[in-house]
Amino acid sequence: MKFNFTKLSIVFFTSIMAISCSNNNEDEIPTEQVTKADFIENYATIASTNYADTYNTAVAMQTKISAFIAAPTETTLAEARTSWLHARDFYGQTEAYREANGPIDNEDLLATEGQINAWPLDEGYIDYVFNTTGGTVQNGLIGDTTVELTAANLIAKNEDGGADNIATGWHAIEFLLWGQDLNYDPINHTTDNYAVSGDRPYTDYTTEKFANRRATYLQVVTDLLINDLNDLNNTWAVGGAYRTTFEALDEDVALKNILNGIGFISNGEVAQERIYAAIDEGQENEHSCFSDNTNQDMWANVHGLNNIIVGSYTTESGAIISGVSLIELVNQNNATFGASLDTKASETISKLNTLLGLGKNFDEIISEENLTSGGPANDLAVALINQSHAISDAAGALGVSITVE
Amino acid sequence: MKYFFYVLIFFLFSCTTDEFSEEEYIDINYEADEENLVSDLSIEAFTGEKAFGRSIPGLSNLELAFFGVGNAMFEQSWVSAPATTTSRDGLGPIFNARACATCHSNDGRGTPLLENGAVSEGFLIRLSSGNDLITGPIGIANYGGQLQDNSNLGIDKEATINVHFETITGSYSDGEAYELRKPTYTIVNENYGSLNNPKQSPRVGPQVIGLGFIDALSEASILANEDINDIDGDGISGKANYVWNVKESKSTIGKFGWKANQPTLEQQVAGAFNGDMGLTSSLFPDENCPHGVDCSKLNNGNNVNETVEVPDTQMSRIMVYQAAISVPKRRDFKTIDVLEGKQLFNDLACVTCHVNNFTTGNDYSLLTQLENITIRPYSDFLLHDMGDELADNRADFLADGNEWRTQPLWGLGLIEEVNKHTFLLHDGRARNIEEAILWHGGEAENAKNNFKKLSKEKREQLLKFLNSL
Repeated sequence: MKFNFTKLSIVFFTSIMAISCSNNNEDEIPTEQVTKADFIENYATIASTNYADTYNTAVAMQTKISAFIAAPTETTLAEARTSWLHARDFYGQTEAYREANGPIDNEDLLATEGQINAWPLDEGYIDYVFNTTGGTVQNGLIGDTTVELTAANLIAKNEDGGADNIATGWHAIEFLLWGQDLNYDPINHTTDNYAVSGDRPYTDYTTEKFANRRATYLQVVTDLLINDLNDLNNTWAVGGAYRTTFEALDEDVALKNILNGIGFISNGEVAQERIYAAIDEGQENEHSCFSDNTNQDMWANVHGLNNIIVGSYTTESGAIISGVSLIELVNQNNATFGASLDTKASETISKLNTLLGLGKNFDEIISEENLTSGGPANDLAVALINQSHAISDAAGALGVSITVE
Repeated sequence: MKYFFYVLIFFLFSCTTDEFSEEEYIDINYEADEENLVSDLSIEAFTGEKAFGRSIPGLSNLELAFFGVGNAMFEQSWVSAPATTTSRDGLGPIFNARACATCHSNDGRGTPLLENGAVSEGFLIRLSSGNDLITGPIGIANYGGQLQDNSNLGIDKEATINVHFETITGSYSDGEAYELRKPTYTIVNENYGSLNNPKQSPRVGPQVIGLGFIDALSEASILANEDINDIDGDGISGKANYVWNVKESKSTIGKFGWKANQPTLEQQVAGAFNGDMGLTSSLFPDENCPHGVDCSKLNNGNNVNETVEVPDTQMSRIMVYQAAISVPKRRDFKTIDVLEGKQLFNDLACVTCHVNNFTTGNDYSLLTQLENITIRPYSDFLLHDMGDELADNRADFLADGNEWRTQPLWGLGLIEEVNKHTFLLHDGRARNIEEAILWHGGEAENAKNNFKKLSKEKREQLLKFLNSL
């Protein structure tokens, strides 16, 4: 399935036409057959566009963060935060390409996932944290003036005694922009005000202790993230090293990789590790815990999976790129499984929308649920698990076998 | 050409199957369901890094949710306290690993210490100054019973471990040479005083499949294979370890660990939380505190209204996770080579210790699905003298310095898929299955020598059988 860019464009446009036809004439049996190769190609196009958006929006974030570091004010901090939230939406969608033997987490390739998105973050390893008596403890690398804050040193520190990267990536930047989310209610002096997020003052970067080192740390981890995203973008771009490898894969191998990835992320990663664990273990067991952006993480993760299932992706500029969807491909082989996948994917979006429609932060939502209570977070997890089973059935219908946990 | 092919076929089968056709041979030697190592609760063997860590079939939705929560706890790194992520803080102050998955990567096997200074993932050294038959190994002053080679920021790790390998050469009866690497470990940069040649035992984290089935074995079923004084005269004894059961406050049979020094899965897990990661639980409520540090002044990871870092609810989730991890079905079990290998495994008496027939007990309340299940762990869970070459010379309850617990062999052939290495034995010194066999001594000396006398073809058949497990 090697192809060049021109050919890709042709296939891409004919795919759009094919979809618009079938959408307009739902009752008609499509005369043109879609192929595994078409679907795989569309996946590659979506993945590379998504990674490009991620890189570009992260570079915009880097600019805002540099501006904040150069002149820390309430305004520049707010702009830096907004740019993080915007870029995060695109990275969140790329999680659908994980666990697919691709560059993000294949040990023989870049394998930078841990460095990019490690969680939970070891906050106290980075900077001051609040202790239980309302004071703070300064025991992080920022306060340890014997450590020179360079990218090489931070990477080395992270890997001291094991490869678990805990002090870099999206959440490190988030922590340095927002600070800990204490849910603190200043009127009642309780810690149940879920409406608030972390609220690090900009003075942490002007008058507070270690302000300069904090700024250096923020700059270093931001630059490191940009480097890592640049690598991913380049390797997935047309002609890039992994794109070339991917395009040369046996069709069924590529298909299996893709479906293994979305099946696992839907079930094992998002439903079980992120939602069930959060419901069961407490209100701050949520990924974007400093910014209270976890609802939006859910939006991004769910839509990242849905992009592949429905074969379309909305770019940062608002353009829609689309091609052969998983549903179409499965429909052609097994209408029952195709319809089931369609239903399960729609239900997942519907449960996501219910959760988002509550207008509450994720930490508040999960604080009201447990594993047997039902509720919007539980419902979303169940929908994601059902979706993963439909993906597994779809794989079977296409002649490959995948593992969904 | 065609003629040659037929001759070749005839020749191949005449060695292995005598007068039988391939199909007949397989029919005769294949035992129904032998590929299902935990009966109907076995799972399909997937390839790739997710081959381990999958649940037994038929869990309820709630059990599946517990399994998922436990899986998250197993995978995710713990962090130093206090942290916003209240359910994952409390790491340290000294520790070996930040996550269970560091030492049991993908629920598989850790990577041993290597000479080139590459980061080991799942290697540690136990220390002791002596042993008490009831309470177990006696820790070293200032260091305790395990060397923690990692620490939170601002706390000194206990020390650093280095390894040096010496090459040992040998040869099979047919003249083919082999090399083994014998490790010597040195502990350097001790931060809490000189260690003065303690008794030490290196360990690598093993794969964590099928543990619930072992947990569910009755004492009687293990004791049935005991033969401490070798009454049957086969040169193989087999002795149960009896170890301190914290929950029951008495000695009970040891099942887990390289020396069978943990009585239950729960104590094994809680012990690993405490010793390997510095996390307290109701079984081990005391912080593993470095010498000279007042840990009451350090932040711990206890949540409001809790007195330990891994509360009972969290512990119960990881227990469901650990107990419910199934064992993959065997592969290639209906091939002549594998079936011939199985016969050799019996003929060489490997199966005497690597026992393939147990039935779990009928009182496993943690997961009642695991009761009364026929399993093929390929272990007797007993201690055996494995010879001087493999000895750590460190006693552990009833185990002396030469004795090790028979390793279960289920999943053996999938370690490479899951962990991309084939390092085996308690410290990962064997680079593959063949080397692991060649390290066998003591009670297994005869079996090993008979293996060395086999033709290359037979040796490979045995390895194919082992890789099918």
